[in-house]
Amino acid sequence: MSTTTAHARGHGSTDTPILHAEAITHTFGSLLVTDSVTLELAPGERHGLIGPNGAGKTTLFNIIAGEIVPDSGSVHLGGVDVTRLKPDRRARLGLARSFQHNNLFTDLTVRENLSIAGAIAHRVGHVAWRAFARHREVHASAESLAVALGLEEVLDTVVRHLSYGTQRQLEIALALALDPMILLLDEPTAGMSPEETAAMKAMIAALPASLTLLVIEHDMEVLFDLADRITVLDYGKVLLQGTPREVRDSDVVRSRYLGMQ
Amino acid sequence: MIGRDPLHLPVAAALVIAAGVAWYGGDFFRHEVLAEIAIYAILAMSLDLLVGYAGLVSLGHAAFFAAGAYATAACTVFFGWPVSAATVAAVGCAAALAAVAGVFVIRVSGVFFIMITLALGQMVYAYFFKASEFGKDDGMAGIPRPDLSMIGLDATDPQVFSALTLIAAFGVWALLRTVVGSPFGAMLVAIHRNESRVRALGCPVPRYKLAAFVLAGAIGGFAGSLIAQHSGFVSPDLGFWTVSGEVLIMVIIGGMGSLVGAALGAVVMVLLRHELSHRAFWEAIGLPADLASYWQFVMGLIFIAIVLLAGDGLYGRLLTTWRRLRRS
Ligand SMILES: Nc1ncnc2c1ncn2[C@@H]1O[C@H](COP(=O)(O)OP(=O)(O)OP(=O)(O)O)[C@@H](O)[C@H]1O
Ligand SMILES: [Mg+2]
Repeated sequence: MSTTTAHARGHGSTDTPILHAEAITHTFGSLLVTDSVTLELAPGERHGLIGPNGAGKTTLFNIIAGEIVPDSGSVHLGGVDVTRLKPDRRARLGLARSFQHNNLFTDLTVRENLSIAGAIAHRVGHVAWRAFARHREVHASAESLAVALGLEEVLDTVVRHLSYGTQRQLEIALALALDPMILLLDEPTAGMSPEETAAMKAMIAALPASLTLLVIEHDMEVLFDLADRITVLDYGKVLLQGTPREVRDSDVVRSRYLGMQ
Repeated sequence: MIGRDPLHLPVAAALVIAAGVAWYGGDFFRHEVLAEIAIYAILAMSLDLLVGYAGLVSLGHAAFFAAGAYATAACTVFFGWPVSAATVAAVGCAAALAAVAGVFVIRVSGVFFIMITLALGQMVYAYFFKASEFGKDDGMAGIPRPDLSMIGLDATDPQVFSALTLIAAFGVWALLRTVVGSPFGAMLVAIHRNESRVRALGCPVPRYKLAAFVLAGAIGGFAGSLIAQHSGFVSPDLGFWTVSGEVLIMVIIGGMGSLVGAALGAVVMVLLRHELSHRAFWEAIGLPADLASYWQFVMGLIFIAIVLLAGDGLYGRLLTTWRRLRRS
């Protein structure tokens, strides 16, 4: 298994990884869910994370995002040790994530959802003396993000009245509203119709090249087109790291993962 | 969040007009009640910032009420400070208490938050009950009202003092209105609705909760200062948990998450307390005057009715009714 950084898309070979999770180990009770996992992403890299149900993919996301403090191991973002930092600090350092299960402000409208994220992104959340409505830059970026993601029709709809697929889009939009350097997407197309999946795939492919992406995806086809490299997790262990082609051609993945499909 | 409440300005205007009409030509008793309503409205609005906006259900808000009242008493009686300076000191003391306590209480949420704030309130109560320098359970008397001779007014005149408290209540409403309409207010609502998501978006949630707790505590202290000036004395009862409970009931029956709702709750609660305990009231509506001794029982029945008939409080009921009328 290669531990050298793959320098995807011709980024200079002296780049320090923008995301570096080193020897992460974590247990839930007696269950070893993450077993000395090491992950290095070069700036701008598109990295896929696959593995069967319960392999520990979401747990690894939660560790990278700071929701879970691992038993051992370290996480660095852009060379900064964030192992002890809370999720909100990591978010402010440029790490955004979407959730496997939609995690939205369901009683609020799409516009309000995006404006909340926008207020944080624009660093105005602490302003208590000036009307929110007058922070036009926040609302303008919320609107333009909605337009870019095809949510402009539903801007003033309360989220819980939206279809599942549209809520899923908003889930991604909230993460994008932070204008992150690193974006973690946990099964972005889960539960979507084939058309919605295709649209989501196109949207992800069109994200700026400077954005570093780590995507958990069950739909192998989505990842094979999208990813520069793929990490295969199995029972908390890294089974294989390599290009999509290497992963597809690997016997062990065929038997352990693809064979299960 | 904020923009979707079309009634707050009309209702606020109606309350201001009603207060003006009640004040104009009111007698001594009327002005006493008006001042009390105004002071409890301030307390209820400050609690609503926590309960209705930030989702922090506190059962210890009377701690700040008492702290503000005692600080006012100490500054005026012990140090002979002018009432204006004592009021500022009261707000500062309550804010400091909220900041120190807040660091601990905002770590927990839900029912634990209710319990820990209840404990905080009872600690403050127990302290004043035992502190001999503050007169133990007798409290302190002789707290003056502001000296308004410069503008030719006398604040010991109930009419003048009630006007003062009503203006103060309006000022607090305007201040809190600004806060809840700001990005900070939107963050509080977001924290209330989905704390884990706001955190993932990069909001330092504990800092925001603490800021809300301190602001609410400071305004609670302001209300406490006014109640000390109003009655001229302070006692540990101001910090007793039933006071916290009463203010929470005001917020709930008035309408959580709406400042005018909280003020409305204070109006209803203070008026009911005064009317139901008066024999004349029962006689006037043709019922036995002895019912006046059962006023707390009747009040309980009324609250149950309000909660059953208007789950979102009176203001919430008003909003849904208005929306239904507009749709038809
Ligand atoms: N908070 C928790 N407490 C105890 N066990 C947990 C917890 N979270 C996850 N697990 C367990 O850890 C294992 C890994 O879960 P995780 O959600 O990371 O898997 P996953 O790879 O994301 O799976 P899926 O594809 O189903 O989303 C599972 O067996 C799960 O039941
Ligand atoms: Mg998962």
